[in-house]
Amino acid sequence: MSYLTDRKRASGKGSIAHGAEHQLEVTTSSYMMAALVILFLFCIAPLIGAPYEVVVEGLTRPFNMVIMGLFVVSATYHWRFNIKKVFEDYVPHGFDFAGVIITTALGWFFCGLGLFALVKILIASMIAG
Amino acid sequence: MTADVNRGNRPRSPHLSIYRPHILMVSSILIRISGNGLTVGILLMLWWLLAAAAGPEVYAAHNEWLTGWWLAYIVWFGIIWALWYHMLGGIRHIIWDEAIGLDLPTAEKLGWALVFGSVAGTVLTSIILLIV
Repeated sequence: MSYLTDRKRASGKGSIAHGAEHQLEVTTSSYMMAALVILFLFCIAPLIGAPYEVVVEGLTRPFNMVIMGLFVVSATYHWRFNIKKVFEDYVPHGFDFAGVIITTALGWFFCGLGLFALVKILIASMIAG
Repeated sequence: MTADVNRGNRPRSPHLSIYRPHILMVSSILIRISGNGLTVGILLMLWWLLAAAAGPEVYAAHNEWLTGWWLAYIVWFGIIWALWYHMLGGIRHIIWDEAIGLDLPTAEKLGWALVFGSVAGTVLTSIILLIV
């Protein structure tokens, strides 16, 4: 049996303990993603499906390279909030935390893959010309 | 003690069988569906970037799979719609965070704005991408 009263167990678990921090993280990330999605749709999306030379030339322009790098980092970061929520809401207790850990690892892995690809494209284009 | 009774054994959302669908509910659920669906978008974006990083021959072969047939077009348009919808949904959250538009008539209008805004954005983006 617990020696703590209900009042004592609830105290400190409100917005200041966890909720507000998460709210601010997601909101900040949302502002960033809103701007980056617009930039992605108009700067990067036209390159998808283009011939190799066009893709490399387009991606290695400084502005596009920065946008794409930011997009990879920001999108994988933002993606984790979504998937984490799915595990918390729909997966039975006990398995949800394992899901959150796997999601976090995958998010960083995707982020690393994207940045690696960008660096490799940049280096290849520098060697070529 | 009473606070701990049966904790963790309560029904989990969504309670789809209980509520009649309405625009606020549907527009909110679509935010989650579009957001999680964008996992496909992240994977395809990484595929495309890694193919480009692997050199001209590899890129040409993979580009066929990524963008060269009808199913790819449907998937990319779906991704564009999901980007627009999820972004507009996020903007609605930012507006609501400022305690603006929380009354029912305005909130319902915002719900329809997400649906029509995302379709308009998808058409606009698609036209630009197909022409340019």
